[in-house]
Parts: sequence; structure tokens; C-alpha cells
Amino acid sequence: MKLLPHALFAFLFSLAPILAQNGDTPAKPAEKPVEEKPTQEPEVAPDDSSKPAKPQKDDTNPKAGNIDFATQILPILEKNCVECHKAPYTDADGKKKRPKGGVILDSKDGMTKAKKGKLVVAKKPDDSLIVHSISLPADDEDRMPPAKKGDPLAQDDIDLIKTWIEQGADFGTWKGTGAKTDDKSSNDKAEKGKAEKDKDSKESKESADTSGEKPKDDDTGKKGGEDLALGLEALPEATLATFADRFTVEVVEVGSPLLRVTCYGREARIDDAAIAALVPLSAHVAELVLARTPVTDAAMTTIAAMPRLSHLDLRQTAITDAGCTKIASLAHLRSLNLHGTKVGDRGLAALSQCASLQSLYVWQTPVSAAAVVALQHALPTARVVFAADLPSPMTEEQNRGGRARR
Amino acid sequence: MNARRLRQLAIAATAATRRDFVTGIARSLLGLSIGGLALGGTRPRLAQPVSLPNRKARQVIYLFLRGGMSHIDTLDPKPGSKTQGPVEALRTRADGVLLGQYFPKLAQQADKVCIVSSMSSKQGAHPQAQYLMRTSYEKRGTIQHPSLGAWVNRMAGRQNPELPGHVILGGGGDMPTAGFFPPSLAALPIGDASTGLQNAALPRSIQAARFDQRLRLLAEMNREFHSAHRERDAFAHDEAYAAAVRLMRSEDLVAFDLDREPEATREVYGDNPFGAGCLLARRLVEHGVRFVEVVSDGFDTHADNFDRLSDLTPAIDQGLAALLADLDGRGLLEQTLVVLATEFGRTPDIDQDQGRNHYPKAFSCLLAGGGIRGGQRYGRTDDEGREVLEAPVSIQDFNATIAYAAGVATDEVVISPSGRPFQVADKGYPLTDLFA
Repeated sequence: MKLLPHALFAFLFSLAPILAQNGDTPAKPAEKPVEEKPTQEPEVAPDDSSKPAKPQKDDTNPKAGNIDFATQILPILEKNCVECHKAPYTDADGKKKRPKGGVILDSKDGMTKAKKGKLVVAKKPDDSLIVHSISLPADDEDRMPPAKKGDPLAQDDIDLIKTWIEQGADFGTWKGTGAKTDDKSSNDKAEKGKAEKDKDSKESKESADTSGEKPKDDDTGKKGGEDLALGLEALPEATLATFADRFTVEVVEVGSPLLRVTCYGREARIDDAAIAALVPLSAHVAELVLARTPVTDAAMTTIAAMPRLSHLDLRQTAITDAGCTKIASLAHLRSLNLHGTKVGDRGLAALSQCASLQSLYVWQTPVSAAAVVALQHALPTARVVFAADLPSPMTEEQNRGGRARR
Repeated sequence: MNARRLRQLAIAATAATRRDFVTGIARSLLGLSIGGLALGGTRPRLAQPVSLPNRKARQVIYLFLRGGMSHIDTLDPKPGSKTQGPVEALRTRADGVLLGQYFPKLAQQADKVCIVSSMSSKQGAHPQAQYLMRTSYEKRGTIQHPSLGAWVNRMAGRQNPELPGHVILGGGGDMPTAGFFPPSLAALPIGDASTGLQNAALPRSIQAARFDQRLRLLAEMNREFHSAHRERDAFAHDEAYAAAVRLMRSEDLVAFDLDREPEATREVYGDNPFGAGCLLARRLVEHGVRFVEVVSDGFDTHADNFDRLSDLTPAIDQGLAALLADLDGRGLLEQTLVVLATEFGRTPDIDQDQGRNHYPKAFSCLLAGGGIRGGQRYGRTDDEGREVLEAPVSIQDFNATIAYAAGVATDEVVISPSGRPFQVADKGYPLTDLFA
């Protein structure tokens, strides 16, 4: 660390050759469109759900009266779409069939929840993926139905669907097949892909997967999250932005009103006053990372009043039994990190009332093994990490092997 | 194409295209990044980050063993088979999961790991296979694809505004890049983890005030240029300087300093480059760095495979076992995905030089933490380790699984500046079965 700081800057220039390879060759932008045209891949991919549909603001064509889904829209879907886009089922040969692209159009649940709910966005035909897909030009490979499967929808039918969405996408009493869907488009896709790829070898496992405990990979995070989020309004961006100088505030997942609050890089400034300033977010904070900050037990009063808090990371802070006792009342706390704090047996005993707790970290604290055993008894399903299971050091000979570069 | 047509095209080009041209030039000639530090904004964000329900991993530690690690001798032993050679299989803490004898310490942590033993690809050349592993795309001349670390940072954003979101420890040679993403997403490379980030402190002869004066002088000199050329990319150069200065003054610089670790801890990780890399990776992850890669070389064991593995593997065994145990003790393993990857396996047949050669058809990688269910082996190869019998996993599937764990939507399409669509793991599907 003795060299000039300019050496750091010199590093900038050493990167230049790497950077020069980045992306496009900058030397010939003008030619590019011509060169690339013939081989160019489609600009809009089928399942780019974050990208707004192509604006086709032409004829909104408001028809008199409200469109009835069951008699006017459903027949169009059944005729053109449902063959490939129905809820998973087993066909006559006993093969699992899954909806193409995770798009399910034979149930209300499917239409409103698959593809993150972007298939049909009420009152916004231009944001609805279904309108986008059926409106693409006939030669676009993403157009639905695909050229191999059927003709494009008649313009009248497209307009009808648009108008129906504009009117609020009311399904009336129709529910469809009633098959349940999960709204994780990637998952659908993943399972579809796997099913296609190794259906022979994994048939039995697949069916086990789909039968009983479907949402197994999100029953902890997602479902808990959904329940917690129920009836909660997302805070406006502007409110979140006011915390930006000391905290990173982000939503736990897209579309959720729940928040994850971290302060990496600014830990030294996060004192009890900074925590007190989080009060406006109290109802929304689900994850709070305060590792290595100077917070004290006093701040735990504010934190104990965060009703939806499920993950709290206080590792390497000065929290003691007093603070731990305060947060033990949190009703939804699932993960608590007290590694390297001053919490001892009294604090641990208080946590026995925290029935929601699933993981607790108390390595390098004054906590005793007996207290851990007692807590484990009170909370049999919780995982209490009392010590790191570190390996013994290497022999010198082994280290030499690792250092030898061949 | 004649000159007139060219000119028409140039005129037709939109302002954005011209800006891209200048961006490219500036990037090529000036080098507007210090590995992830340019505040850049040289390109508009193409799409909002999207996260998935199963987002447990907030950080990724990617351990890359270059050269192609022999699967039969390490993660996928075949006791009793004629392809096994002299290496014995070890029982582990996880029922039914065996490891090669070189991994006694990892065996003690086997309840935390998932071995993916049905990796399969068609790429058997080192540079191409490494590129595929890191980017999910075939290497080709017309485009540079972003590495997984750049993707994760691009989609999930940076957690710590003071530190780069993407760091590579060790390595050299063919390094992953940000590809067509802004250079601010490129990794900060650190050659030797045990010495940390070099040249970040002011020399003793330069007082802080004098340093500030120099920066002001620099700004003064640049001002005229900026007033004549109101180009975002010219400003990006200034921003890269500003970011470097910010890092120099950051309290988080200590994250790079292994001297702050107790001697005992350094010994537990192993006093060698890989161990130091794992320990520094842990420090960076503690400070919220999104993606840390640790590179280790030497696994291209065409000759004396067994002697060389017995030299090379203790450091890997030690470093990985220490990392998993330490992260778990600190409560970080549930939110940190640890990956052990290599670009291909090695031939089941042992040749006359006691060597094994390139074998992409069947090989093994390992995942742990970040929501992965431990103590399992995914997929199966035949009794001699030649063919994948069950649940083949492509490199794209493997990378899609990493992305999925880190909350990056694998089906989100990002359009490159040349107008072509790309996904984080190409057309890979995440192995959602692996998660608890």
C-alpha cells in the first residue's frame, strides 16, 4: 500500500483491452443494421413480461354494452388457444401435459395469475400479454397462435378481446377448469422443460412433485410473505427514497408491499436514532439487516414494533439480553441472527416464546450449551446454530501442495 | 455497399446510436471502468430487475476450478469400477453421498451440499468451455456475453454502494467480462487475495489536502473539454475517478484486508491462495458484495492425474469446508449460494501417463446454501462415470439454477445494444427440485 494512488488509476487503463471487446465493435455502427438484418433474432421475446406490449393505440372501438366473457370471449379462446394452453393434465397415453410457456387460458385463475398476472391486465389491453401475442404480424415467430398451429385471429376477435379487457376484463361467473395454477412463470417453464427433457428417467418423481405438495419451494418464503402482505398497501416510491442516504430499501419481491432494509457500506451511521427514523416503514419491513452497526438495546423497542418482521440480522452488534427480550415478542420472526452479540442465557430463554422462529444463530455469544438445549426443547422445529463446525487446520505438507502452481 | 448508402445510414442513425458509437469508442480507448466502480449510466437500463419468489440467496460465492476437475476422483466416485483407479471413496455425513478420498473435510459438511453429478455438455476445449460455464452462451466472434456475476448485479442491483458488486479473486488469463453490459458491472479483479486490494491508500508523501488539490486541478483541466463536448461518456470517465476515490476513502476498504482476520481463522481456511480466496470471499459477502468468484488453476491433469490431485485437492477440501462451516456459523449460509464449478470432467479411462483427458459428456459440480437442500446428490452417471443416466443437467440449466436462487428471473429477456435478445442462462431451466 505504498505506491502512488495513481497506480489505481493506471489500472483503469489496463482494463482498456478487455473493455474494447465488450459488446459491439464500435468501429462500424453505420454498417451494422445492414449487416445484421438477415440473421437478426426477434426483438421482442415471447415471455419478456417486463416489457410493455407494443403500443398499438389504433382502434379502441368501444362497442355498445358490456362484453360477456362466457359467450363472446371464451369461444374465441377455445377455438384458437386452449388446445396448447390448458392447465396441466394427463392425456390418454398417461403422459403429463403442461401448458405451453406456462400460459393457462382455460381457467380464470390461469388467466389472471400465470405469467405474473400480465396475461390479462384489466383496463390495459396494451399491457396485456395476450393482446400483444395475438396482435403481432403473421410472420413474427412469437405471434400466437404460431404459424404451424393455426391462422392469426380475425381482427374482429382481436378487437373484441381488447375491448373486453378495456371494460375491465370481467369473467362474470366463469371460473373455468378450476385447476390450480402457480404464478411463477419460470417455474412452469422449468418444470415443462424438465418434463420434456427427462421424462423417461424422472416420470415417477415428476408425478410425485405435481400431486401433493406443489408449492413446496415457496411455502416458507412466498406463502408466509403473501399472508403477511395481505391487505397491506405498498408505500410510494417517494417515501422509500427519503431513506436512501442511510439505508437500502427494496421490496422483498416484485409486486410485494413488504420491504427488505439493509445498510451495507453505511453501518457506522446506523445508530439508534437512525432506527427510530424507520418508524414510518414499521408496518412494511419484513427483513432488516443491521449487522456490524452501533445499534443498542434501545433500538430494539422500535424493531419490536415491526409487526411483519420475519428476518432480523443483528450479527456483531452490542445487543444484550435486554434487547433480545424485547424482540422475542415479534409474532412472525423466522430467522434471527445474534452471532457475535452479547446475548446470553437470559435472552435465549426469552426467545422460547417466539414460536415462529425457524433459525437462530448464537455462535460467539455468551450463550451456554445448556440454554441452547432448553431452547431447542421449547422450539423443537427451530434450528439453533450454536457453533461453527470448522475443520481442523491443514498440515504444512498439504498447504505446500495447495501453493504449488503447475 | 457504396459510400452514399453508408452516408445515408449514418444520417438515419438516431441520436442514441451515435451515442452508442461514442460510448464504444470511449470505452475502448479510455477504459471507463475500474471493475465495477464506474457510476457510468453510460447506457439506459433496459428493464427493471425482476425477482422470484424463491429468492433466498442475496449473494453468490462462485468457486471456479479451471482446467476440468476429474469427476470420478472427486465428486462422483465409482468404487469397485475399473475406471476408479487408486482413489478410494469416502462415506460422508450425508447418507448415500460418497466423495473421493481427497475430501475428508468436505465429507463432514456434506449435509450442507448438493452434488450435481449429471452435468453434461459438448464443449471440450478450455477457453470455450470456461466461457460457456461463465456466460451460458457459446463463444463467438460477434458479441461478448456478460458473465453470470455481471448478470446477477445487473438484475439484482448492488447491495453495498461503497464496494463493487462483483469481485474476482485469483485467476488471470481469460477472465469473465461484463460483455455488452455497462463496464460498471465488470468484476474488480484481485490477483492475490492475501494481499487484498493494492494501492488504495495515499502514499505517505501526499497529504490528503494535496491530493484534493490535485483532483481539483484535474477537474479544472477537464472542464474546458467538458464544456466543448457535452458527452455523457466523457463525464463517465470523471465518474470512474470519483468512484475510485470514494472506494479509497471508504470505511469498507477493510473488507479487503485479510490481515484483520485472526491467525487461527486463516489457518482454518488454509494458508494458500484458494483458502485465502475463500476467506476474503466470506469477508466481502459479510459486507454485502453480490457476487464473488474465486479461481483456482491446475486441474488439467493430462499426466500424473493422481499425484497432482493429491497436491491440488487438500486446499480445495479445506477452503470449501471452512467456508461452508464459517458461513453457517455466521448465519450467512442461508442467504449465500456457494457454487463449486469446473468446465468439464475427465475421461473415465486412465491413459499410459496415469492421466485423464478432457471429458465434457459427464461431470460434476456442487451447490450449497442459498436455499439449496443439503445432503443430496442430483442426477446419476453409470457405474463407470461415462454416461449420464438420470436427469441430465446442461450448463445452461446449472446457471439458471444459480440465477433462480439469487432471485434473477431466468425468463427475463434483455436486449443487447445490437438488438438481440439474451437471458441470464440462455434457454436453461432452473432445477427447482434442489431447493428446500
